[in-house]
Amino acid sequence: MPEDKLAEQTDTQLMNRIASGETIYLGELYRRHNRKLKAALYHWVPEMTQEDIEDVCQEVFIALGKTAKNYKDISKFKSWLYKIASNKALSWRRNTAVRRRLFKMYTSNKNIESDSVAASRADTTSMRQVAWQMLTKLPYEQRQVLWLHLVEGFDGDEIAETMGINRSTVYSRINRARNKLMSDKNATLWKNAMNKDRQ
Amino acid sequence: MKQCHQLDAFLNKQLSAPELDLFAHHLDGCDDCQERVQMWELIAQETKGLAQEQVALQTNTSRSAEKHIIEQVDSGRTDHRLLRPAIVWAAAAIVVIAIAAVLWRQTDGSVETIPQPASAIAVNGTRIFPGGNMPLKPSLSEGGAIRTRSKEQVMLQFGEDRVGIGEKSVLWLEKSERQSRQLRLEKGNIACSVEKRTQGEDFVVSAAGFEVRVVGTQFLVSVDDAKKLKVVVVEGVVEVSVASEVLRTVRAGEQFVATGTKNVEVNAVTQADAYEIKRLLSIKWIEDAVTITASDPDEGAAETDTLSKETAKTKSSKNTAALSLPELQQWVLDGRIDEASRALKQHLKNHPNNAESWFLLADCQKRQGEFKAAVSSYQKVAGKTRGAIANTARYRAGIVLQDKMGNHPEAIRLFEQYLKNPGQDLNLAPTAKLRLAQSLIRVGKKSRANALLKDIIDNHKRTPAAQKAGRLLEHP
Repeated sequence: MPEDKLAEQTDTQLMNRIASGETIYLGELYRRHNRKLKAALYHWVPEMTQEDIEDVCQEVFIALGKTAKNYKDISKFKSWLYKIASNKALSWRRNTAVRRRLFKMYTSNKNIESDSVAASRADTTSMRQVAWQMLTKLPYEQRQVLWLHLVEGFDGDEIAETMGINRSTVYSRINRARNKLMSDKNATLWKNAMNKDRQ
Repeated sequence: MKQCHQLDAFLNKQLSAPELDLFAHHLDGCDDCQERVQMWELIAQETKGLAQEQVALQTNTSRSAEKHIIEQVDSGRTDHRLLRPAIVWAAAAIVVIAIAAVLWRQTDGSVETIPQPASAIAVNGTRIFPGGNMPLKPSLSEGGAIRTRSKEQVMLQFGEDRVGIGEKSVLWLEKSERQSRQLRLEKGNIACSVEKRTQGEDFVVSAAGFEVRVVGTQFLVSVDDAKKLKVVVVEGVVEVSVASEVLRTVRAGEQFVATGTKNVEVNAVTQADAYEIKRLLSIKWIEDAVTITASDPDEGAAETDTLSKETAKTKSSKNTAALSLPELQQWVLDGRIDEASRALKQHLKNHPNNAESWFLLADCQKRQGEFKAAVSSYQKVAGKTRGAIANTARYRAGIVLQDKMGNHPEAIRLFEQYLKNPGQDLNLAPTAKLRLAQSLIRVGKKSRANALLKDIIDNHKRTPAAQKAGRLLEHP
């Protein structure tokens, strides 16, 4: 298919083609979504290395291709994609539990998960740094739900479908995350960062 | 800050039109709510901004990833087509074998039982799945034993039966079949929770020359150094026998104490013993695992947990490519630094981006006295990963530069980088500050060092670093 026509195809149309055996169109889906998906994985599981993110991202698209036949137009393509990504991220966390724990024990660093303010962010704004810092301090489930809500713009029903949880659970996770992010202590951090950026 | 109860629903866009009107009216007059709404918008905006940043992410723009994905999907499809008949045949074969086994059992009655290893082992509340994700694949099978150290309990699980092993105990698994499970307690104490046995099924614990036969119960068996046996039963019935002759039936609420066959007593269960059973049987299962070292109790190894003969040591160093990182970590802990270092270097030739291996190599190099190489390896970790791991690597590189190489300006740079972020590891932060202050004194920046030392004394009271900082302030 010519490039310009390929660009006109919706994600769902491409999925239908993949389901009928034209797996070549997975490349186009990968080109369209890999950056955002990697960003999501990077923020959901900050312990992942670049290699891990690349591997998990490829696993997601491989699973996408293999399950294309089960894909139905009733759900948004993005929900489908993030559902697979969520499962893959979860199994990555499970599979590397031993590795992460051993590494933590060995480095005698107890705060690896919660304390992930990357020094590589030194060149970004203070607000952005605080956002990253706060996000990584949230529990994994809250972080994931909040990301889908704020960044991907999913509503409660879409997140519920993606994560396989109740709508009320989704909102309670968002509310808890929000209360943590806007606690008195964190509010001071936000304000300080804002003032620093203004200067 | 005042919380208005509908604010969350408003921010989640869950309010109906009339509720929204009412809340909008409220919002006009409520400064707190206005402030929170503005703040949430700001947070949302910054979080969205995070997605735009490609921090430390090498987006694979080459076509290799796409090609790999398509190949994998295509090969998966082909494999399934080829595998389908094979799966059908395999399933049919299993059904035939199962039917044959049932028929054979009915006609003959003497079925050869297959030894079953413990289906799960937990050490100090940590579950270990034999053959699961564990690098050393520990298992306790027939002929094996478990020795626990002080402050260490181990839980064994055989299907529904559970055996909690107390501190400083040695328990042998003599026979582990479906029909007959036999344990031998050499010393220490165990608590068992055993499902009811049908006729022909056994659960026997032998200890101090006695045999404790179980019908289905919860009980404790303990043997002290003087070979005094104690059997405490809280549920069900057990039979204590010597040389296959039943000596005494112990019922719920009774405890049997014996030193030799003549000196036998039966008393009421004490509260302490009942508590001990409860404690040993309540080791929690969690889904993570720690590494455990396998060895033989006859060797008297102090750190033994389970005793499968497969150990990291039995693997030859030639076979390093197959070694896992935890095994190499064990080598380092065992003092086999040179071997571990060689293996890691070999491994890193093929996996140059593995930050954990670089970290371990750096530790090895530090212990080998190759300080320059160690610093370079730590810096590689900092470059290849992020977050706390990278920070710890910087901190360790700083220590090497400060202590071993005397390169204080570079150490200062690394410690400062480490301390840049407010959410540091609280245990290491005061030490890092102290080290930074020491290096600052060395390069002549005394006023900054003094400010830092005062900060340690004020903010990290009662830590060793604060005490050292106090001494350093008095005698710089």
